[in-house]
Amino acid sequence: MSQLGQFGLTLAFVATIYSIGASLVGIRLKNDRLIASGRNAGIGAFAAFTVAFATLFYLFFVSDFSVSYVVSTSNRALPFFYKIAAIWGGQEGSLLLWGWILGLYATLVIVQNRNRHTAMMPYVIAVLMGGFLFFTSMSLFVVNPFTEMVTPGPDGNLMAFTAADGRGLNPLLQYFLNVIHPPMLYLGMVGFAVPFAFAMGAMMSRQLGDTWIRTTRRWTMVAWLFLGTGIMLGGMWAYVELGWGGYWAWDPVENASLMPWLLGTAFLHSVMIQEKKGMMKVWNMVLVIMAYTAALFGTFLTRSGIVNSVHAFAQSDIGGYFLAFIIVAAGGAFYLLFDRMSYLKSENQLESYASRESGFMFNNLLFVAACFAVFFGTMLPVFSEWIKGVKMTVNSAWFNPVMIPIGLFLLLVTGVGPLLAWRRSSLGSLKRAFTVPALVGLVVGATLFASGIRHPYALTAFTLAVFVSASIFQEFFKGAVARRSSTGENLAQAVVNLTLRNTRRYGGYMVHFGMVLLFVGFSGQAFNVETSEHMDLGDTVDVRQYTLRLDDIRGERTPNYTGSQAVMSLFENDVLVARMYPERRFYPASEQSTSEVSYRSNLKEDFYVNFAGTVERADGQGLLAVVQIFLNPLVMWVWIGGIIVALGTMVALLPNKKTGPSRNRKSEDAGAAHGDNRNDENALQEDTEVHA
Amino acid sequence: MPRKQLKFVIGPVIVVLVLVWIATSALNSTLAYFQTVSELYAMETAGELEGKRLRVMGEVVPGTIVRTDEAVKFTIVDLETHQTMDIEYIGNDPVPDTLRDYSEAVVDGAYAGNGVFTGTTLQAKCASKYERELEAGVITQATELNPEGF
Repeated sequence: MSQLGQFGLTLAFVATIYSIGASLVGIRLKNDRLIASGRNAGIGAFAAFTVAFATLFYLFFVSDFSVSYVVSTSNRALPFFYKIAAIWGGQEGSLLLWGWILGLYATLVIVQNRNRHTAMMPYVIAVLMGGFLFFTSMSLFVVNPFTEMVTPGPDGNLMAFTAADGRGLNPLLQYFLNVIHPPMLYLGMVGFAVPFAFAMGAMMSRQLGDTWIRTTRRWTMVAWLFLGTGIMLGGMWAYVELGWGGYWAWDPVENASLMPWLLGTAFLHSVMIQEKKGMMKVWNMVLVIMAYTAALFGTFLTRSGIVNSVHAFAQSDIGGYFLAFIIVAAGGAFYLLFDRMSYLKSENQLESYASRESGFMFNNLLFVAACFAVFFGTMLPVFSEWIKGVKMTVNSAWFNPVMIPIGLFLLLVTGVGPLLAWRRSSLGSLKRAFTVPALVGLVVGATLFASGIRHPYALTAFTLAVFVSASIFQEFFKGAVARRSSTGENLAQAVVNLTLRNTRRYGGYMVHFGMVLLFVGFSGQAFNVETSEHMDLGDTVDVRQYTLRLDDIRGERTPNYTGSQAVMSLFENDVLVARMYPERRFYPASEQSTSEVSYRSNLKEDFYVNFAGTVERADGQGLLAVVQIFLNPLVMWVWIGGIIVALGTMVALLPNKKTGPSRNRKSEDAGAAHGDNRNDENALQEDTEVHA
Repeated sequence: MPRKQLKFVIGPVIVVLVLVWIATSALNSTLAYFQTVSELYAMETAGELEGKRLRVMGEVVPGTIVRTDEAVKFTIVDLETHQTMDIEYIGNDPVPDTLRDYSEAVVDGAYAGNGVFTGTTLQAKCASKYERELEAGVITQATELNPEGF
């Protein structure tokens, strides 16, 4: 069967080369048939690659241990569900997944635009397929997932052999979210290839109007949605599976996924200025190039082992190839940008600090600064070794004090920016927009201070969170009241219709609100309590209002692992509220142990228990359980915030509802515009009306 | 650049300067030297260890891990120079599951002299069973893809 996969990859490789060649030659010769054949070859390459990808699924499902990669990440006793996670549990499979997703995106772009943007599309396809060629080549020549097992035969020559069983999937990866976490992350990372390809296509074809921006806006949102979801799932995985009580540790692998997300967020904002004001054209190109580069760089970082990470899962010598590809992609892109600079003149200038434009400017500055800080902290060991010959490192003790102020400043801008008018806001409009949210924020902040919350960052975060939330609700409320008076709908209907008529704007507000909740959740960390105890049966531990008692330790045996489970009772104010079952497991196939944490979660806090192992008693008479207890306030709000961000993004992706029975052009609908064909005039009108 | 636009440069520049200041001052109080066992000994000889935060890395020597109620002790070795260092881990967090014979340990803490390093945080990474077998030659991966096949 592995030959089928090999065949698929080979075919994809050939078709990809043809597709690139036909597209580029076709556009030069203005030969439509050649261009069309390049398109079809692109789709064909994806189909062939899909055959290879499906073959890998099959090899895992039937546990074909004649294939080296299957042996390395799977075993017979592995539950069927985790065999899916095992497919991308190692280097070879991850890269195959990367490539497949890129092919999928390329195909969707080709089909979506088959009759559009004819001057630009052949270049777009060539760029997308160029990336696809890189990944196909990697899978075919460097980290081939279909490589067969061999062993020296009696005559000394290597001969094929089939292993009796596989070495198993790293038990840390045996978690249900891990089946979808890598695909989500890759859908996000790879998604930035599409805006990149359109940006390159626009520059190559010198079609630098708004077309590429409008075409790629949605694609960027899709990529951003997947990447954000992937990052959240990664956080959940770390929280539940790694047992250290947190969801984010500024580990290089985590940072690798955050960097493209930060740049993508910056782009999604600054693209609005280009659409409405024709400003920041060069800057947007830079952001698109950097976002794609960061996605590639993130993959490089995770896979090359260049920086030391506790959970760098699979490493090999693919780093050099990646670095070369990154240099070619970014170098080519920046050269092109430099060459086409004269087409990207700004049509407007900043007029006031109290303007939407300046809000976006600070937004971009902070996101890019955040990305740079993450990059700097992550790469410091590498750079310091180059420059000073010594490896120097930083950990969360550096990241937190640097990233928290940036985050809080961003939170402030989240509240202020959307309330500012384009060009400049008058003093009157500032008063109208800010009075209520600022007052509400300050009152709540003062109340929290009076109630004893003194942690400066947490207090600032909560105050800002209330301010931003109030400003968002005020926006919905004002819009809905205006709509109600013109349509006679009730307030709830008005909110829904308002949102559906301008999905980008109100979906955006939802995303902002989700972010606010995320920050509330992050701030909970200021009040974390952590303790580690050695417990005998019957012992109790008190943490704040909770008491935890160790009742029993019992054994467990499954084909996949053996475990010992602690049975514990949790009392809150002396009332039994939960039984908890933290567990230690040993996986014979991979010879690794893991902890399965147990936690009780509510909106206020998480009580989180990790059975971390055993130690011998001081008198040598038996063992004591090492129990780690974390009391983590407000963690639930991180997950809720993440879900709202995702929902808001989906709303923003919906097309605007255009007609309605009681449509009134003079009402807020005139402003709830149809983003795609608005001009500057009615864009400005929207804001003056909303603030009127 | 027109004069009018100059004022829009000042704001961002101030923001950037503040951030750089925050980042560098945080750096001074958190930067750690990440070293192999031999590099740490070399620094000791040169008298450069004074007041530095340290992070040392090495492979756990099999059979050296001893757990007591107060501390976990083990020895790490620099695979290139075969110099060893004893680690006494006294951190609050339990020892990670991945700390075992042959795993790669990364310890933050202070060097007390006489080849003993007192660790307050401990990370460990172990190669998968598959990787270890591959390295030891128990299993072999085909370097050439089915010569008779495609």
